[in-house]
Amino acid sequence: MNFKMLGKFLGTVLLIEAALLVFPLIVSLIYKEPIAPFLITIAILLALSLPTLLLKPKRQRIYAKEGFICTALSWILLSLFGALPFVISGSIPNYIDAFFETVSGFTTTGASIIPAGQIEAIPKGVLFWRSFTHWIGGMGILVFMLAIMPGSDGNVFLMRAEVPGPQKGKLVSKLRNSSLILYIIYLVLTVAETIALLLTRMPLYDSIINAFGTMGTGGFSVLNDSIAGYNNPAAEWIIAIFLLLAGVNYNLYFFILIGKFRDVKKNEELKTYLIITLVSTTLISLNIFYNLTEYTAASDAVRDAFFQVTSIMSTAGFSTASFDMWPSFSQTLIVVLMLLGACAGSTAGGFKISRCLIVLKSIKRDIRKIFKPNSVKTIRLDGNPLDEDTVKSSLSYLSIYFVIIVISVMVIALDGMDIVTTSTAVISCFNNIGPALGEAHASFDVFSYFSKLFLSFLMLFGRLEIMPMLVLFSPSTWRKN
Amino acid sequence: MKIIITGSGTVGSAICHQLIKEGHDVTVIDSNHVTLTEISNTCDVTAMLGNSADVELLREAGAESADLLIAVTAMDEVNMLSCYAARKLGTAHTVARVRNPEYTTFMNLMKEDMNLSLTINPEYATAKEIARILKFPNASKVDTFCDGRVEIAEIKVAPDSPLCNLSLFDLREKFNIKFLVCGVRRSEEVYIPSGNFVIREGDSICVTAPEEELQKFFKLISKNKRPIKNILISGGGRTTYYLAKMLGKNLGNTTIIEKNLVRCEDLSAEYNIDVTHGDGTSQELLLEEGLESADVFLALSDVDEENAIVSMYAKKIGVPKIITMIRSLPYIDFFKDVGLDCIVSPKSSTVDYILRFIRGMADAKDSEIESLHTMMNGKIEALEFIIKENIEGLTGIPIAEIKRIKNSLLACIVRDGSIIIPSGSDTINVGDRIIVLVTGSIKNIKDILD
Repeated sequence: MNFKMLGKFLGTVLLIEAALLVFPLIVSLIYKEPIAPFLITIAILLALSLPTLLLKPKRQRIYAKEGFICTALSWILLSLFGALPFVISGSIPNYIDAFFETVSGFTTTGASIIPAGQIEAIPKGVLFWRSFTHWIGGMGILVFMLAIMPGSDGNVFLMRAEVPGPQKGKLVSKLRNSSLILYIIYLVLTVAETIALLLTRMPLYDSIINAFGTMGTGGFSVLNDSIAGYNNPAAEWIIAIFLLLAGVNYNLYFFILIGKFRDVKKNEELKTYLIITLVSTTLISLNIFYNLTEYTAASDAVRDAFFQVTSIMSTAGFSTASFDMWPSFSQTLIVVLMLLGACAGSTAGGFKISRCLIVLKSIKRDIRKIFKPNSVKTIRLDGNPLDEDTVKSSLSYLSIYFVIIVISVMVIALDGMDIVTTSTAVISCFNNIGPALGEAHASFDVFSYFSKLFLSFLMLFGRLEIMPMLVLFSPSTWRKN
Repeated sequence: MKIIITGSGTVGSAICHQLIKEGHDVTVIDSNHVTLTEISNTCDVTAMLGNSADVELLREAGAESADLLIAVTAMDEVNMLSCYAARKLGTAHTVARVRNPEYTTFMNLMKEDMNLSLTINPEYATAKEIARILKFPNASKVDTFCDGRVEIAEIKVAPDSPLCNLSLFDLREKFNIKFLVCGVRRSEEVYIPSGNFVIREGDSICVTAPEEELQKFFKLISKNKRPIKNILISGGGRTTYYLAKMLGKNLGNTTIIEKNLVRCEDLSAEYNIDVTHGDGTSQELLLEEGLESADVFLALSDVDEENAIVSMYAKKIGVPKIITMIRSLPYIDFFKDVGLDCIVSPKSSTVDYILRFIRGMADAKDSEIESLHTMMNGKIEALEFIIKENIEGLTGIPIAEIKRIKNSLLACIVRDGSIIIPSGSDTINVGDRIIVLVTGSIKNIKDILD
């Protein structure tokens, strides 16, 4: 283990966090709120990170194991220090609660422990930071670091650990340029949404916050009633559409930009994503329109259904309607969508559609093998043959994915909640969605501190796609050989 | 620059690592999944799986806008094809590795039609390197600069060498030879020494001087003062074939031992030398062919391990100069550690040669390097520049007053065709060619100023 390199690296991550905290600081200044919470946090971060810059590692290379550990530790540290403004400002007095909230922010979960109805009482600067963490965490802090830091090339493993999906490719040959392109697309989409929301007469502050929540697929909002609180159908449509966009693999946007429409057209994952969205929206609209008396106009049902489907699939977790009151069929469908997630290479969490496609194709091949034992069949995705390693890793990911869900449900069940609350809370946190069903629909405050801490790490497991956290917590990593 | 490398074998990956270090945009194509994964894990490149002569794949790799394609797959034909295809698609320059001597004339014929910027024959390059070493047998490696006018030689300091335990300053005083020690490797560390650096036994040092002075220097330090007469070569492969051609009349009393009868016959038909058909690893045969009286022993067979073992044996017997050919790059360091100090390698020759060419190309674009050599396993770079204009802080002032970056050295000035090994009071003028040594990478002469 190259501890010096690790120290230097984590120091840089903290330094970047200090720089990012300047934005909420400015917001606080604009709204004439106390800036102490941010100033103190920045001071602590600088005090810790500046000395690490003096470290002179002998070996510059980072290997796979170190890459995973760097990633996992960066996210944990970011959250540990990111929680400080909440505590210092008194918005969330308990540190564990604040940690949960920050992890929920960075992992773009959007699950909140702030009790229902109390969000609007929190200072605007602090709320800005809460949503800004979504935006940073959405594309990834290490990707950001690679994009802005010169000479960070060669750290291929860092990006691997952070970018979700079964296949990790670069857009262009240089990692740094790839990261930069991703962030530019991300930024442009965010600005576009902000402007679109402004046009619906949403206030600037709220537009920016909701754009952060949408593009990062986080789902923190500044109103007690989430997006429903605006009573603004146009804004709901805009957010739903941008949620849909946020769930698309960002590489495809790059292909569109450079005119490679053919690659976009043959992308199976995108096609599946759009079909699932369409089918689920139709089913849920019909289900709620005919079962709930409050829907008098079909357009309302369609809008709410579309919004909820995109919000859950992209793993943002905004809500325009209390879907915990919806009929059982719709609720179940929503839980299934929670497990599924959106496209690989997007800012969304979940199992990812491409992985699902690979698993399904592999099952199909195995069935074929039963009646045609000697058949040889290569699994293809987007028309290109997939290597067996990718297939295998998708299958093993599926197994670990469910093992973790089962174990987590057992652990959270210790709190004594009903099974719907317990299991949906686990699924919601692990897939970085946010809201759960049952008692935890409005706020995760109902859980014990142990469960909150457990769920925090579960969110990190989900965001980093399990492996980096597993590596961090496996004893063999730290054993000296 | 945008560079496409086809072939991710030893040479491809060595070139790739260096190019990435220098900040180029690299795409690697190979049909071998394993080596390709390895390279994409350790290098910031785009890796593409497939046949490197596949036009669609080349197009996808960006051959239409690439500055350079380097074809170093194992197959000559594929290399030529991919270069040809890339040129057609619009790649500005192409480099092909072609090792089969039978293609040499073909390449000369087609070079223009195929628009190849450079072809490299690894065995030929190695033979050339061996020929250079034979000129200064005490050196383990010799490079030439400024169209062959300046030579840099790498030597290992023997325990009883007159160089031991003297500072560089004292050395120059004592021997009155104009030479410059421009690099020292002690255990794993590499230094660019200053005047009060003391040389110890076991150090590897790089020395530069004009040819006559260098000859004098070697005469001084060599135990064995008689010129090379008896050369014994084990292995009659392509390298031997080219080497025999280069040595020409200077062959002296050369004996080649080769296992393969056909090769023996070929060599014997082509050159007027002694060829023995037999196993070059047999002690008895080696002794019979005069290993004990050989001035130079060359282990040039196709098997690295055999070469290493017979070289160690020759060393034990007491052959004054032993040159060992090692094909596998990772082996080189191992064998250096067990005492084989003069190792040549077709692969590292290829890498050096291609990199030199690329630097030359990159220079035309954004730097001014005329030529480049690496020494001490690539840890020191020797760069040749032409001073085209007055540069503040560099030209017109005594060298002692130039504020250079750490670990750099002005090794040599070539002015009006004559070579000056600079002392502190010399100045650099416009029009000079200078050779600079650094431990990092620089692109521009101004980068040397602190």
